[in-house]
Amino acid sequence: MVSIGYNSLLVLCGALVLGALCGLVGSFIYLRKNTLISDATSHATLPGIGIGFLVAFALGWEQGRHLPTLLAGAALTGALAAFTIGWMQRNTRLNNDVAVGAVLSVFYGAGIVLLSIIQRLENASQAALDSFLLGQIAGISIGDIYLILILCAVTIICTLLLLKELTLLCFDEEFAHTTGMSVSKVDIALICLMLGVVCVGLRMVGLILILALLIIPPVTARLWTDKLSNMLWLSSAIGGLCALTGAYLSASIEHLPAGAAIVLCAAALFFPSALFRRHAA
Amino acid sequence: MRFFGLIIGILMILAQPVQASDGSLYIVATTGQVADIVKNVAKDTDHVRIEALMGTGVDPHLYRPTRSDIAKLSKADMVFYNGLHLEGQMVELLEKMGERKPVIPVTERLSEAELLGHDPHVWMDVKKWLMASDVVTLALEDFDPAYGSLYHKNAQFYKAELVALDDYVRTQIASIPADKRLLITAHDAFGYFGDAYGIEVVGLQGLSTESEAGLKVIEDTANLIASRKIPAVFSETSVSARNINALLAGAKARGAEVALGGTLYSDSMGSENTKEGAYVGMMVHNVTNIVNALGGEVVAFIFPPPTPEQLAAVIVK
Amino acid sequence: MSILPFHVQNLSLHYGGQSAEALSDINWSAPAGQLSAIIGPNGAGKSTLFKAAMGLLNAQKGQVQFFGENLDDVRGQVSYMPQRTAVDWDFPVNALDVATMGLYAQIGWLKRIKRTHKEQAMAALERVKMADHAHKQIGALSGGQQQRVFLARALAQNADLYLMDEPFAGIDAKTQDLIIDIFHALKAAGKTVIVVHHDLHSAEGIFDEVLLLNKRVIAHGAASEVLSETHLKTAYSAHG
Repeated sequence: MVSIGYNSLLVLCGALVLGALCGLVGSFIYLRKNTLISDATSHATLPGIGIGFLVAFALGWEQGRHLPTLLAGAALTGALAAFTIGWMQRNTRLNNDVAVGAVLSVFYGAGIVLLSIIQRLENASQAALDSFLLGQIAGISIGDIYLILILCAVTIICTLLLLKELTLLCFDEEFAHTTGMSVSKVDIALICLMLGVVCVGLRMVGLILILALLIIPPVTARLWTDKLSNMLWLSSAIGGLCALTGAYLSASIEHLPAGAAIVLCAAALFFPSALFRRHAA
Repeated sequence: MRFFGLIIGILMILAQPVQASDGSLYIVATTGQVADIVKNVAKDTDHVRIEALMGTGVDPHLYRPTRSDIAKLSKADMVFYNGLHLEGQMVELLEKMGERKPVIPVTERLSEAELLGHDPHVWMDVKKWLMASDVVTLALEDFDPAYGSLYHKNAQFYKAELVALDDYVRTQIASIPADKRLLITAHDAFGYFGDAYGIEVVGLQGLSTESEAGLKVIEDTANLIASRKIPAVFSETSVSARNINALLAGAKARGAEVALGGTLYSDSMGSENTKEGAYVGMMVHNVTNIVNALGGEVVAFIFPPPTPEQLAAVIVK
Repeated sequence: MSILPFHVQNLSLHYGGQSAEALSDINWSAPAGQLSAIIGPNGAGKSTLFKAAMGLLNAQKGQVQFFGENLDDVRGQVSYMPQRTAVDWDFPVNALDVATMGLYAQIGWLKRIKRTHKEQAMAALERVKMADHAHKQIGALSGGQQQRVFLARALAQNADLYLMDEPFAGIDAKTQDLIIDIFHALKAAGKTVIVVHHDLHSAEGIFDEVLLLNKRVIAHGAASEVLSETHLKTAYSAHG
């Protein structure tokens, strides 16, 4: 097949670590029943990318395509969406679905509008800003890898430190309150971890796909184990494996986008699991 | 007698194609390159107003028309576009517009044999762009015969310049050492260029920037660079440099000594009022960068004003 | 002067967006070292009283003092067992994990669960006779078993005051007897137990003290007195 050259190596490493992180963070999001929020958050990064681009363009940074600014913008609007939904859940009588749907559509729509404005700018390097939608895994640079590794370290440390807090929060929020735990702080920590994974993953696998990588591994893992710690390991392994395999397939087969390949691998693991483990306790 | 004159007058008015109320022509073009032809053919007169929808740095494969674009197209007397699906998101709109006014793809006279499959980047071969200019000239003469002789004269001048440009590009590319004649860019925009001027071409993304660059392409190209010791690769103004940068990193990891040879204008031209904002300037910029980076001998493009005999020799058909 | 373990003063509360009061001017103190029951019809505000006391709901007026202090200062001494229904039984934790959760506050923010903690939790499971099922996922347990696990969670931290919301709801007779035994053991150890109880008929046999509630205090005192006909009529009548 394909010899593992430098670029492939970067892609495989990046995909493996990102996939594992998605599996890990996604487990808590799944248990917290917040997968819809991740959906809204990942879509809400679009206007942030647009705003980041406009800011960088105005300041003359790389004609707009200044990556740290783009990611900062993405993180900002993503966070805004997540907290707006939280606020709506706590302070209005709106159904959760409605809150999420409303926020998602408004933010994403704003993002599309911004993109079309940016498209018309002259002398701007706006080419392929919509690669953030489906990602561009083939062009990973060593800088991207450093970013992923930093995120990995931060996520693992946070998870280890907050393991029991996250568990309790996801299991029994009310009881968590009564133990004196600051529920909102832990919730925010989880949302920040989710944001981190989404923003880093956005560039590589796109904001539409990142959600699949956050949801499918934990759901699959849950079908195979009843123990939380096992579920975390398994979900990370599945996420990493799917991302790795998808990236490898994309490397070997011409014209196969990595993003799609990864989702298909994840689905390939999920459906048989759902079938065979239907009657698991 | 006066009555007869009146009838003739009315018939003449009716026979005229509909124009803007002040008698001037408003022409809309999609890309800058197409607009460039129209500007040159219709120059030296205030009679024609030309506007390009896509500015500098805009990617025509991905460009989605806005409401103001639609308004412009509606008001226009004539519309020129590239065709061959370059303006991929505008096909239906252009078809609709074509029901009410002349909407002309400048590539319409190129036969299938002259095309490279579905590749729309024909302006990269100057000779083919000459044919495109004929399309524009004849369409203008047909629609606006009052200014026909002006268009004709301008077209001859333009074509003379393009013929000289064509020779220039050919000789310049030939000055690159044979084993280094490999042009590596961000997407497959230079197929016609390579075919016409004798240089191998590799694009990381396909014909349209909508497709993702495969990892395999990057790996294979990195291997190619290392094994053939190619000194430079090129990014493009309208496409993200991400894949090219990844390619550079990959090639360097294989021990190749390669650098970014420059940024080329592929799907769009430079800013208006700069040299690169015109077709000739744009091609010269590209050629200069390519030749310089790949080890050829760069000379300037000089086009002395042609003599009347030379002009007369240029045929517009 | 003895320290009152659970002292409610002028507590009034209405839910956001509603004008009607869920709790109206509650004044009551649980006797230390005794078993008290809070009784009333549905919607009387019994669970609401606990939730307000534990800080899960905001009261507009009044306060609740624990051992003479605010809850935040004495959380280690107060143990809360919520209603069983509000839990996700599919969650990947077993009985031991749940019992250990009672110790999280003790273990501390950001710190790890140690073996000694697990042993403490196991001891709590033994008290409710669930030690054999320690490693079963909670969804695999029966209703009575689940209730016992949550009781173990409440017992694990060895608190001085226990607030339990309907611990007897929907359980088998064996579990019921077990819980009553535990109550007696706690009382013998000098602990205070306050229970929101759903069944007024059994209350007299189990509890020393009863608070009869229907948005406001109807009566409180010894079980036999409070559970007289007149009081019950008032509490359970349509208007309350």
